[in-house]
Amino acid sequence: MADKDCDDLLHELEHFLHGELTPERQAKLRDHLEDCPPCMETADFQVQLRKLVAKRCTEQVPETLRLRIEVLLADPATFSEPEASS
Amino acid sequence: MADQVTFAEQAMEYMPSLYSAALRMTRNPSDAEDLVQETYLRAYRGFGGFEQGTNLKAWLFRILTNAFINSYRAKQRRPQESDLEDVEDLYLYKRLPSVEAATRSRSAEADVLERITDGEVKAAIEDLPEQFRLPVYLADVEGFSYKDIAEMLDIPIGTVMSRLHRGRKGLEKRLHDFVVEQHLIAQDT
Repeated sequence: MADKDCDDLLHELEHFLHGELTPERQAKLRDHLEDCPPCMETADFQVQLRKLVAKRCTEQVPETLRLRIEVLLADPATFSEPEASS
Repeated sequence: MADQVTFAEQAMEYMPSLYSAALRMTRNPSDAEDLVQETYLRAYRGFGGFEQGTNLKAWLFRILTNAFINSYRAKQRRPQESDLEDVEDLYLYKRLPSVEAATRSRSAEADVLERITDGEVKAAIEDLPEQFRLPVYLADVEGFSYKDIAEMLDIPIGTVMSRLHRGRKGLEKRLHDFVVEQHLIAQDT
């Protein structure tokens, strides 16, 4: 039943793409994808979308922050001081 | 002390990831800097409790997430518990040009995605209510496993999955709004 396989795949697609299903389910859905061009296209788009979201979210660390933390970690007093309460 | 030297050697490389996440969490550069500094401070002092050979990045993110929830969330002015409107599955994909046509075009799809800007993706994530924003960011930007996320947020894996499902749909809806604004896709009638 191709339709039921498609429904199953779409229902679990996001978790499949994250590799979070059991090995048996992962294998079953992978087999279906290879045999079903429309599902493969859908899956491919979702993969591209995730990649885009991850790629677009990187930030430059401000140099001042990097320095602040390097100084903090190099200071032996940092380890022993009680937690500052904010 | 050997531990502290090891910590500095191993942990500094994760600063870009931690800072990027902190910025999406706090939505404010100055709070993000403070949060990252606090994370390094807590991690440095607690490094004795880190088990060498396990996932240092996940350990640091757990500290970051806890520090955010405990220290910064209280300061956030936006309501913490707001829900997302219900959005259908594969929201963006179903609205692409040519989705009804006999021949889909991979390049047209890629083109729509490529024209979504950094600022739009960041805004779309930041617009998600916090209970959805954190799991989506941790899973889809940082690639953490559901199990790691469940531990970081101290919620069951089933809750992680349902929040991811709703959060990802909400993200697609928001990205679709931007795409419509750019006139890349004809608006729904």
